[in-house]
Amino acid sequence: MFEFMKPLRAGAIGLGAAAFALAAPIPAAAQSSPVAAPAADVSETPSADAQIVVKDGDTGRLRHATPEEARALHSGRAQARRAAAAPESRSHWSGARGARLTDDFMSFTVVVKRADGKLVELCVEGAETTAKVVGSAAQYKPATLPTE
Amino acid sequence: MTTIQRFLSSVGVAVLAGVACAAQAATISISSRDPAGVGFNDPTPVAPVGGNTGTTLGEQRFNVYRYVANIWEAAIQSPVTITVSAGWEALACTATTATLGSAGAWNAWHDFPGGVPGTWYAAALANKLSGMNLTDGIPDDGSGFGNVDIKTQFNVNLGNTGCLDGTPFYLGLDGNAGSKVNFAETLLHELGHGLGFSVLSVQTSTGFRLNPAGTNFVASGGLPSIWEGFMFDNTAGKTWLVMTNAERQASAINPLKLAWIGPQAVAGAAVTLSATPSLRVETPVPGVPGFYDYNTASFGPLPTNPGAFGILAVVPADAVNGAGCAAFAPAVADAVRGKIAMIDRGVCGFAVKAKNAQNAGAFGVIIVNNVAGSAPGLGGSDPTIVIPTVSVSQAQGAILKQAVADAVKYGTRSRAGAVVANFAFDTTRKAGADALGRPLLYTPNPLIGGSSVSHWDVSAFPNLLMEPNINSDLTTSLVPPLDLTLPLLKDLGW
Repeated sequence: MFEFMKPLRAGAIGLGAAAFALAAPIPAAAQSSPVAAPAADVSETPSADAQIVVKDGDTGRLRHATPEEARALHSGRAQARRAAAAPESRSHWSGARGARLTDDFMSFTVVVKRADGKLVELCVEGAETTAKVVGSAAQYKPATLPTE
Repeated sequence: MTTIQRFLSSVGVAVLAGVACAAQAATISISSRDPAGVGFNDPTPVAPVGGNTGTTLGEQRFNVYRYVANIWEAAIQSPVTITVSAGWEALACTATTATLGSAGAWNAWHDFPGGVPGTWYAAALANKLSGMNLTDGIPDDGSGFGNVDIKTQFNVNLGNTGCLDGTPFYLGLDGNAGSKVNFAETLLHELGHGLGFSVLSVQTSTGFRLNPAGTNFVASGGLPSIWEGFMFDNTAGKTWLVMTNAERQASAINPLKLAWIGPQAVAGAAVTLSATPSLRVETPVPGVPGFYDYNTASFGPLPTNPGAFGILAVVPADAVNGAGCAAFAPAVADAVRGKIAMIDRGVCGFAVKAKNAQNAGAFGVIIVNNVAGSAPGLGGSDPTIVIPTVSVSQAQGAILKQAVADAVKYGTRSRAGAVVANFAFDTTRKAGADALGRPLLYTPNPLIGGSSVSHWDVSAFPNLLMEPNINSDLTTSLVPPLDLTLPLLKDLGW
């Protein structure tokens, strides 16, 4: 005998339902859905030797960025790059056709720490849906399971 | 020859065409996007953990990547190096929630040599089947990683204040993550998506497909994903390959009805998935005995399966307080004492109903759903509840409640007929498979973007790597009898 813990995995269902509730609906009348906005600057790649200066909030003078600030800037650039990237069509001499995709095609794993300390990991798709789930923790957490 | 047979035959031909040049073990190359001092380059000294001998945080992070890549290399074959771009970035998080990371195919191809014509594939698989790197010679898009097969990124701040406070990634390789987030397991799952465990080119919310240029999901003229010929809806009686947009849209939210019919995964399911845990009901009432699905509660003890539950008794409706929401009247308490109290959902919390039943002397509780659909998970908490509580669907609950009333006349003068429920495994059904033993894809209603369809269903037992939830009891096995990840990928052509 063993203790059975997963007849239907209720927690997962409730968690997922909450995630969906936060996702924007897609108009039924839409005939074509761009997978992302047109590409902006995608050439700005963090480099290991980049000199980064910031304007100090207290003195108003320019100074070298702290490691934390540099990381934040790099992250911001990366996020902007992700948000802006649109698919790019590809072709190959063999006749193959394809595309470089975007973060909207990515699978994201999000984690929620429940009140009892247990971690619940859920795999969802697209940066926008993920950001809504993570950014709405206060709404999200209680809906993990229905209570009545 | 049926449509399904034609599709499977075409996939088989495509796979055979690639066999001659694809029989070598895969090589996975990992390239970093991290700047100095960040991610893989983080010089923070750390102690060895769980078999990871790296001496800096960055080194340990890379070691996990390499460890997981090695697992995949041992499992799949390809003559073309699989390229993975890795970055550690500040992803969205709060003190209690966080984006752990993401991954996916960064390029996709159709109409390449060795593939099913007019069909989208993830880049790594397209390269394997064609025997060449299809992005060779294509200028980079300016990002520095535009031509990779798989893009990954993970949260560099996890565990810091404001980002799942105090709960970092576990960088050990032994699975003993404890209260931390098991990075190896998470990465193993995400790389699975990147290698092709995803419907990828179908917008599940609309049923639209990706156009041949790969730039838009379109109502007509889109190309199918290689997944679609393997996705059979038991309600519609056809695969996604031959469905309309509306039919695909409906199938994506058709719980427990969308099966994967690829022969490798079906064969694997037969030796991987267990019998379905159920309530086994016995009663003299005709037509009622059999197995009923149930779900569990977050409060009280979990039921033991197999194990005894008890004789069912029905708590009557209460128009004033709600069924089971107030202390039971003496007559009701007499009816449920020593039995399993069946209580309709509604008005008050599940835990309130369970506590009232416990106070009345019940040995257990069955919450009957008050809306259509499957048996709900029961949330709530009350540490004083010591009897097990489970739920059943509205439809099955109605059958059981009627049976309790009908059973009386089947008894003797001294002992009324009864309905008895016990926990048991239904050996005629595999947990997570349809009636024919074909593993089910995850199709909850409402839709969960990205989770729906591109994972195994959560009813699978034992837990599988490619379920939408990454469970703590997983191993790093990708094959039967522990897992079905690799069989599905082999159905695709891996």
